Amino acid sequence: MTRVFVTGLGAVSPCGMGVAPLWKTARAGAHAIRELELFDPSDQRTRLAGEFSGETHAGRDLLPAARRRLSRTDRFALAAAREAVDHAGLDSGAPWRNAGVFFGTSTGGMQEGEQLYPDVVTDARGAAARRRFLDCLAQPLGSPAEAVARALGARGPVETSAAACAASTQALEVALGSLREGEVQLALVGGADGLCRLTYGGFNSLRAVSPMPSRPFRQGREGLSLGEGAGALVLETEEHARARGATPLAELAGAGTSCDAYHMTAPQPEGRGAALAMSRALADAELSPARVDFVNAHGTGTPHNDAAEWNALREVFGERAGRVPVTSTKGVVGHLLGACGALEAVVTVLCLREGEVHPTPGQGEPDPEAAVDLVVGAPRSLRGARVGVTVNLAFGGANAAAVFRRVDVASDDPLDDGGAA
Amino acid sequence: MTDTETLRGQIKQIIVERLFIDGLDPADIEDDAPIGEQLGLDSMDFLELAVGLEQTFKLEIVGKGLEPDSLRSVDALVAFVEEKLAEQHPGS
Repeated sequence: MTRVFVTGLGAVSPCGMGVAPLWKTARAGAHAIRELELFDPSDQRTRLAGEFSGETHAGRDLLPAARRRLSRTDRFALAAAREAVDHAGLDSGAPWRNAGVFFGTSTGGMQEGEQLYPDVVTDARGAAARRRFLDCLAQPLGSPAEAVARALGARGPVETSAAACAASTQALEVALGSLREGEVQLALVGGADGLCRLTYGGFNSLRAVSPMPSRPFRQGREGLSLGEGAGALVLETEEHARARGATPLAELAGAGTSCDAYHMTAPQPEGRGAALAMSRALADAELSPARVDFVNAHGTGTPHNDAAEWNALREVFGERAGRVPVTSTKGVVGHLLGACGALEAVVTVLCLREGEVHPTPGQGEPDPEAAVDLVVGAPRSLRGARVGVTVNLAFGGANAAAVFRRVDVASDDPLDDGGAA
Repeated sequence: MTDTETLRGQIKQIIVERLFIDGLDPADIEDDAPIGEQLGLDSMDFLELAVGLEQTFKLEIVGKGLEPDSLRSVDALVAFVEEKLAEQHPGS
């Protein structure tokens, strides 16, 4: 089967612009959850979020009116994609002519869209409302992927997954299929979501948000913290990567998806759907669960999620479940919704590259009802780590998992110690 | 400054302000280059621009002889607005 390599990484997160501040914060066991400033949360239960505050410099190369059309989410997508493409040593244009863009988002340019309503009620013909009407053109969920495709000159397929918090993990799965089937040789995969009132108010109404920064897998955890940003990965077939002398960062060895078919917002308590997605991803990678060195969990920090996820890990890993190192990047940056899958995939690749798993911030003792081997305090050194799994569970019961395998470029055969079990 | 030059300045100002093109100096808009290609305008922008011209100059132009070419460049806009002003506000 055609093997697929990751050759570039990009990120925009509450830690700042780029992969470097994200990894630095994660390694330090710190988090980037602060008082929300983007809009007024005073009528909400919580005031915190993982908000990006900085300059993405996205769209600098666009014409002035086209640049103004970008939503906050589009700008995150473009900035992460640009970093990943630069990291891969690629230019925009020619290499992308027959390449794919596979993206996930939960709300796209919702924040710009929802700004319109108060402005219209106040003064429908005023300058503010007129501006919002123009901004609304970037609201559709396809907008981030299309903005990236325009910037790269990628003619497709250009596809957007909208499976909420599993969206960009699904995008990885779709991209992997496209690359393996030979539809494309090169793809940009990512996820992007900006904070907006709909999700902030919605998760507050569901009482799923923690009044303090989220504490994944801890006893007494009260919920998640919302975040925003984007993750991006350049994927290419082994043949394509080798032909241009690219350095593989890791192999995307497999991916799998499933649906709980259970409830609109609650995870299936035994984690059956999540277990199925992970098992399918491992089967797709032709790896037994015994080969997995660590898991980057969905780990939202809600009571329901972490307990269901623990049950899923028990189903997949059996008696080894409590000994597989687990981390949650959401403890660092919050829950990036449609972007979390891509961002956590980036972090999973970094863990493999660096030979260490970042700690999960959060106060409190481990929860015996979610008794994962949680990495806390300091990075866990896993020098020999070959295989990392990342998994995301979404509203609507959508689940998706991806398996990344370390590629030793010094060896002629990167599979020499990572083959099928 | 002639009336035409005043009008030219007003039109450039309308393009920037009405279309919310932050950070663009109106003086940097070229007179004879197609504004769509120069600034990245799309059809929504052109409609917004037409409505902006109607309101600023008390003109009716949408459905009254407005053609895509009328909005093509600043030069074309100046000529079009001068023509419509002469038709709709003669002697003013």
